[in-house]
Order: sequence, then structure tokens, then C-alpha cells
Amino acid sequence: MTQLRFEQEHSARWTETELLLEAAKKRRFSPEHVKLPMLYRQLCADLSLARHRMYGARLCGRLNELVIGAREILTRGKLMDKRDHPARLWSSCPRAVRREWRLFWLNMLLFWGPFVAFIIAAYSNERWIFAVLDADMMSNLDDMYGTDNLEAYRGKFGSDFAMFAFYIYNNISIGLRTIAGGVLAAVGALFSTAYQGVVLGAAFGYVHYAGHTDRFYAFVAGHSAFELMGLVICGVAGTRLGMAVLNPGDLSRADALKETARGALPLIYGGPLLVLLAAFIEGFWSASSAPAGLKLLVGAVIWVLLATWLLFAGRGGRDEA
Amino acid sequence: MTDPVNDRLDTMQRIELASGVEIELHPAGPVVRAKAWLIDLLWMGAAYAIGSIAAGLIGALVGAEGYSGLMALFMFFMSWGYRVLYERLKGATPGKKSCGLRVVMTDGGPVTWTAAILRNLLRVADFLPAAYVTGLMSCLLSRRFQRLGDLVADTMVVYSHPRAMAVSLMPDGAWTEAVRPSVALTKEERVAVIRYNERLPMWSQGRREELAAQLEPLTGATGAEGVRRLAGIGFWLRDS
Repeated sequence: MTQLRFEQEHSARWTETELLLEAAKKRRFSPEHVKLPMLYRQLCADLSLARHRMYGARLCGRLNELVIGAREILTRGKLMDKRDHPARLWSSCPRAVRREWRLFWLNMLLFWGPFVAFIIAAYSNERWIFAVLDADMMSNLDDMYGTDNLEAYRGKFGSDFAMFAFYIYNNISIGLRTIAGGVLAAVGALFSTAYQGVVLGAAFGYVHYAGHTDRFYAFVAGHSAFELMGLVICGVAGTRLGMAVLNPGDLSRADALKETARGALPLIYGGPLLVLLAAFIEGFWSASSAPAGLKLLVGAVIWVLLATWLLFAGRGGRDEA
Repeated sequence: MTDPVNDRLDTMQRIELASGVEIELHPAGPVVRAKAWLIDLLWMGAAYAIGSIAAGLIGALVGAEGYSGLMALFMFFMSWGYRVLYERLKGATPGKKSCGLRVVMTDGGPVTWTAAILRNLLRVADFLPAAYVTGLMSCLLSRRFQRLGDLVADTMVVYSHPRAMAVSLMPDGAWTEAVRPSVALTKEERVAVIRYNERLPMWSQGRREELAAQLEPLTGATGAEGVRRLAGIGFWLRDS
């Protein structure tokens, strides 16, 4: 059969398919669309035949486009793998943290190590703290926690909503950058985790040095668990990606990255979500006028709940392969 | 079916579908993607201007604090969510679309939510240390021009409508007639001759003659006559 006859015989059907696809792309479906699976199979056969008979790039190109377009419409339904579904994070995230316990404790050490060091420094060698914080930051900490005017200080920056939005923008971005930086042989994630540990740790240290601990801990208690552990989990996610580059095992590095990302999804979604939760608490609860004792109690309860979740949620179940 | 000529020359990706047929996808290189990125930058600048005006108007109603809050949320969306939404829902950001590009999974299917999120999350790493140097290296080292984000998300950027390489503008029989080749050609050779025919209209006469002259042993002629005879063989191969 010559190319000309082949085209003459089938081009009406191809045009029909093209029209159906265009309508489907604009989400205008008609009863005619039930024919799409059949038309798709015929197109596949046409394309194979055209290629086999070497019917030239113009015709093959047109059929190629048609097959791609039809397939896109037909497979549109399956866009979220069940395994990736956010609802699974409740059990898959803590499971992933426990599976990556080595990287988790590495990030914990990098993050919390500086906290301990700076709080010790506050009572022995405060120059370490001054080496990290500049004068502005220290006077900010004095303003916020040195006197009873946290609300007045907030007034300077805006309402709870403005602070909440700022925490979203700032804190979640830090978490996301930590994950992304991890792909560079884990260096970005480890550096970012340690850097956050140093800066936040120095702030904690300064508060101890200046004796503002009462007001400070009342403020941070509520959101500290979600924010700090969220950042640690972002660090774990980033480090995990980096390990795929450093130690790809039997796979090529490209394949290892792809596979690792699938496995690390609960961490990649979970870490930033915890930081988001923290932003809600920090924006709308931490600076509220509730008594300090209540704030500390709520903070402690959240820490216990978070630890329980990380330790026990999703045990017994398993990740679908 | 493999295509020996293309597999050696082209960046084109052949993907076998469940139905057994292979589709062809043309990955886009760094230059056109840089152009798309610049257009996106302008587009985002415009969106940013409109967004700040809108936030300003709302801010005038609810106060400066509301304004700064809305702006922070808007900036968060622009830096992390904007491209994800476009790539997942439309297959391409406005910049990519205007350059004729779109994002697909490496199996040719539409991008999933997870893939759109991952590839744009990793953008930060691809940008480092400046101006997408990491992404460029990754593009040049990978077969499908994938930056790190594409590797992690299992996606690639392709031309959505590959430029029609072959629009046979020449009336077939008018200036030459189908000629049976004097020797049996291998499949690879037949493909090459047919491709020659299809691309004839894009070339200058000098280029046509130059290429046809390579096949003088087959056609027995050079110059315009060589082109005519080679095209004749092409028509014969295609139509019989």
C-alpha cells in the first residue's frame, strides 16, 4: 500500500480523533468520547504500520502527536499515586523517620548540639554567643523577652495574621531549601541543619545569658516542637536525597535519585507540613495573652504527642511497594 | 522498531507504550529552556506587580498588617507554588508554553502532582552556585537534558509540537519521476534517502547538490541531475 492510499483511507478517522482530543483538552466531553479508547488503539496500529513501512516523517510525526495526545487524555485519571497521597502521611512519615533513624540522629545531633553548646556557653564563655549574634539581634531579643511588652513589640510588626504569613514564608522556605540543598551530596542539607542549629542555639544561649528565660520559653513552648522537629525532618529528607548521590548502590546515580525520592516523599512532605503547623501555633497562640504556665503546659503536651507519634504511629503497617 | 539513523544522530527519545507502539519525544536543550525561564521571569514580575496592587487594595481596607501578611503569603506562593500549579494543570509554565515546551514524565505521560512538586522544589539546588550552573551541568551530562529536579522527579522537558521537519512542498511527479535504485539498499540506507527527500525543500540548491554528490555511485550523476535522480529514488522507495 502506498503512503498516499494509506492516508486517504485513514485520514478521516485521524481528523475525527484530533477533534475529539481538542474538545477533551477543553474538558468539553460528548458521547462520542467513548470511542476514544478504540480510536487510540487504532492509532497505535497506524503508527506502527507507518513506521514499519517508512511512510516519512510528516505522516509519522502527525500520528506520533495523535498517540501522545490521546494517551494523555486517557491516562489523565491516574495522576496521584495512592502511595503518595497526603492522607497517608499520618503513618508513612513516622515510619520513614524510624527507617532513616541513622540520618535522623545525625541531623538531631547537628541541630541540637549547638543548642546545648550555646546554653553552656551562656554560663561559662558568652563570647561564643556574641560571635554569632549581631547587636541588632540581641537587642531584638531584649525587646521581645526582656520586658512584658511582647504584644507591643508585635504591634510594631503587625497582627497575628501578618506574623503567621511571615512564618509561613520564612520558615517553610528554610525547610524546603534544606531538602533541595540535600541533593548536592547531602552537603546543603547538613549545612543548613547545622546553620539553623547554630543561629537558633545562639539565640537560646543569649536568652539564658540575659536571664529572659521565663518569657522566652512561654512564647516558644507551643510551636517549638513542630517547628524545630519539622526542620530536623527536612534535614533528614535532604540528607536522604544526598545519600542517593553519594552511595547509589547497584543503581545509576540518576535512577538512585529517582527511587530515593519516592521513598523519601513522606519526609519531603512531612517536614514542611510540621513547620506549617508550627506557623499556625506561632501566629495565633504563642503570643496570646494566655498565662505562661498554660503555655508551657501546652508546649510540653505537644512535645510528648509529637514524640509519641514519631515513635509509634504506623507501626504494624507497611509502605506499599 | 529501532531507527538506526536517528538513534545515532538525534537526542530524540523513543518510548514504548503498553500497546507496543513507540512514541517519539524531543527533549529540549538548555538554551530554549533558558529563554523560557526568562519569559517566565517577566511573567512573574507582572504577576508580582498585580499581586502587590491587589494586596495593597485589600490592605487599604484591613490595614498595613493585613497587607504585609498577604504579601508574604503571595511571595511564598510565587516562589514555591506557581510553577507547580502551571506545570501540573497546563503541562507548562507560560514561559515554556510560549517557547513550545512542556513537561512530561520520562514515560511520556502527563506530569503528576508529586513530580511537579519535586522538580520545582529541587530548582533551588539546580540554581546553585549561580544562574543554574548545576542544572546546566546535569542537563549536559544526562541523556534527556534533565536537570537535577528532573532526575529526582523522573520528568523531562520536551517540545510539544516538534517543528515539522518534513513538509514535502515539492510536487512529487512534476519535476522528477520515481526511479528504481540500481542496487538493493539496506533499511538504513532507504531511511536516509527518504529523509533526504523530505528535507529537500528546506535546503538551498547548493546544499542539495553537495549531499546528493555523496551518492554519485548510486545515481551516476552529480549536480542538479544527481539531486533529481536521488529524489526519484526517494519517491520510488516511498511509494512502492
